[in-house]
Amino acid sequence: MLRRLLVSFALMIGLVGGLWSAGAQTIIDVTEGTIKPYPIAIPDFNAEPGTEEVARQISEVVRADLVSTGLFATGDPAAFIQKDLSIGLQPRFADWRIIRQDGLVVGQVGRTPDGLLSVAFRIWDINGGEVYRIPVENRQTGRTELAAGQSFTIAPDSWRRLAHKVADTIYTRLTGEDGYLDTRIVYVAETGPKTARIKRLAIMDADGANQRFLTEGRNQVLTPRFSTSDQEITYMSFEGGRPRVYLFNIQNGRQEVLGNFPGMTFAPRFSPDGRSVIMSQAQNGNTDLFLMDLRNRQTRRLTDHPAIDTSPSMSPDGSQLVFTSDRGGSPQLYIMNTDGSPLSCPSGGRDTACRITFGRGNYSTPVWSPRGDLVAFTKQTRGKFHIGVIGTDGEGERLLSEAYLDEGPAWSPNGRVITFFREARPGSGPKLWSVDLTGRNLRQIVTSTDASDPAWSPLLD
Amino acid sequence: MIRGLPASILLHVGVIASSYIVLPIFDQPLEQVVIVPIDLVSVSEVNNIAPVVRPAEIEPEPESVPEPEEVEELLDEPDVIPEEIAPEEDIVPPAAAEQEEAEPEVPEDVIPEEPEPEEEEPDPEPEPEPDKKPEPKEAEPDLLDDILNDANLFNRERETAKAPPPPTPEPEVEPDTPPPDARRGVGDRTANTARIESIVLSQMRTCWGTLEDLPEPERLTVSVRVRLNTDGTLSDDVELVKPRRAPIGDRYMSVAIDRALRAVRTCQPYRLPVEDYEDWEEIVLNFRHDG
Repeated sequence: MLRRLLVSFALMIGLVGGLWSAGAQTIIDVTEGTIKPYPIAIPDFNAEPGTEEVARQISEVVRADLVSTGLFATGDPAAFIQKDLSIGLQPRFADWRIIRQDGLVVGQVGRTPDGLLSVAFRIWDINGGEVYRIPVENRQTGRTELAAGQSFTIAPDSWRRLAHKVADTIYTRLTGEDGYLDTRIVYVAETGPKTARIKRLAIMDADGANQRFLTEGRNQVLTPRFSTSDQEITYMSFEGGRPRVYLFNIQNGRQEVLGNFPGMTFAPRFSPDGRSVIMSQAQNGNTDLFLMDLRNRQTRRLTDHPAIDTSPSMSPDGSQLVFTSDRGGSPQLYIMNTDGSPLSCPSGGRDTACRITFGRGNYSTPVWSPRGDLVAFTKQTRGKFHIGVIGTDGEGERLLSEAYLDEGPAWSPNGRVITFFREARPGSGPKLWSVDLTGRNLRQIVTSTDASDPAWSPLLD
Repeated sequence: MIRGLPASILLHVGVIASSYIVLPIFDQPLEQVVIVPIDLVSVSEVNNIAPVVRPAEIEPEPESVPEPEEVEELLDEPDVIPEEIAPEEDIVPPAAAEQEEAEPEVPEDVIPEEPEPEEEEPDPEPEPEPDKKPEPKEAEPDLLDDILNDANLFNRERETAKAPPPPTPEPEVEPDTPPPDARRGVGDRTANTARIESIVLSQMRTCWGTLEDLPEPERLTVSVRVRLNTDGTLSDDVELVKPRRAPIGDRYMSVAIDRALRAVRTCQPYRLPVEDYEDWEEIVLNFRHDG
């Protein structure tokens, strides 16, 4: 009894003490802010003799990459005060503070003895007055350590990738998110008149450089999707007059039909582990979802419903998938367990598939974010098309774009940016666009032909 | 005509009679408007302040606090350079190795050329400063004495100017009797706190990057404690209150922490009322998502 009294007395003293100390200082809740680009100065990298031109080009691509994310503003080089930068020296922070830069990148381009192009760089925290430590894998120990700088080497003709890697490192260090700039986008390149449209598979760097065709255009292709290993694409082709799902190996150019289903197969997509492909199959007037194991080519039915089920996309852990179905009367988005077991629906009750969209209009082409928290979709309502995102529990729907036709969203591998295709007005031809998941930074990715159905590769090695 | 005459007389009589009744009203004196000069004073300054102000402490602080800090910073900088170079030799992969071999030579050659360290290194600079500060305070009155001794008029002024010093010898009295310029009032200063809060929030709005673009923003609340100088700059490094350090493996919490720390640092100086310094000398900021 006495002990209990003592304990409660001590607790009371603690509580009063806590309240006293809490009351002694002002406590402020900050809930409002603005996403402002991070001001970072990236002067042209220093160059060893013979690399001046490529050093300038690399610096330019690094700047363009970071600006394209919408999260960085690279300062005007004409305003830079300190010109005598060197990777081995600490910059004069005051010179950069006065022109309101928060970060500074100092780099050095050179050649290794075996002829490779090399770049070494450091990122300085101007306000903190120190270098940003970068996680770097120690090749001797195999462990990741925090280093004061980073360096990359690459074959000279791949200098753009070197620049993308530098930009990704800066992006990751300063935003905390994985990079996505050293990636590629595969898409359908469209040429010719409307009546005789030629649709070819094409691929380019994520910034629109190095565009090239992958197929010759004898057969129409649709909905290309990248595997998690960046060398393989799955898509739908009308080869032989029948729409079927194909695999395409970018490295050796080989393509093969995936399974020999009766009826037609379409809307394929790799599972996150890259070991299977999920797709729609139409048979006897009904469309359902199927999963094919790529190792043994066995298929498994995922849905069995008289309604049309299509456009499946798996969650990053592979346990669930989101798809479009008109089982409720109009096309809406549904979530189900991959193993077909019933799940608790956010809207109440238990079912084998839960509807997550209840807004006005039709929802289609859902894509689960690689981050796992959102589903991107196409929404058609009141004669307009939108790209939007919604929480996997059906909460927080947000429309990111609006146009005569916006369709086919695809996530960047870090789940931060969405690319899609847009037809601004009837007959204007589709073009590729990208937008940040907050709805900011909407920008066109310029392609040499009309382009549709973009899909993002994972980060390159 | 004959009929009209009595009517006219009656009307005139009526008018004159009514004027006798009504006119006295206008005879009453008008209300006098007294023009009172008014100062706009926020309510909190009058009725919601603590009774005691500590002028003696506040004044010296801006001079003494920031300067040692600068000294520290400056002294730090030369140290950083060798540190930065040394770790890089170990860590930066082979490609940079060549440069690094050259680097130690370059910095050694170049650092002395850099104006910064040269300006910074001389320790005497920081040392005299603290010494100088007290000196001028004593010296100035002496000089003034010399110059103004002849003029009685100025002497009088000087006496009044010297009047404040007498309170300093009697600081023990301070707790009981507020100094002459201390504002009288009662209350727990909540209104002051509200004012400080609104100023900080309006500044923070442009400095903080929000959490809306991160997954599960509700769980990413970050609390930091900041200590400020009277000029609104950070007097100390920002202290993480919750979470106490960036959790390993929780990258989005790390992003949230980075954003909070960056907001607090880039937003300084905070433009807060100096007279309420004790209310914002130390502030805890909770950066959270308001869904």
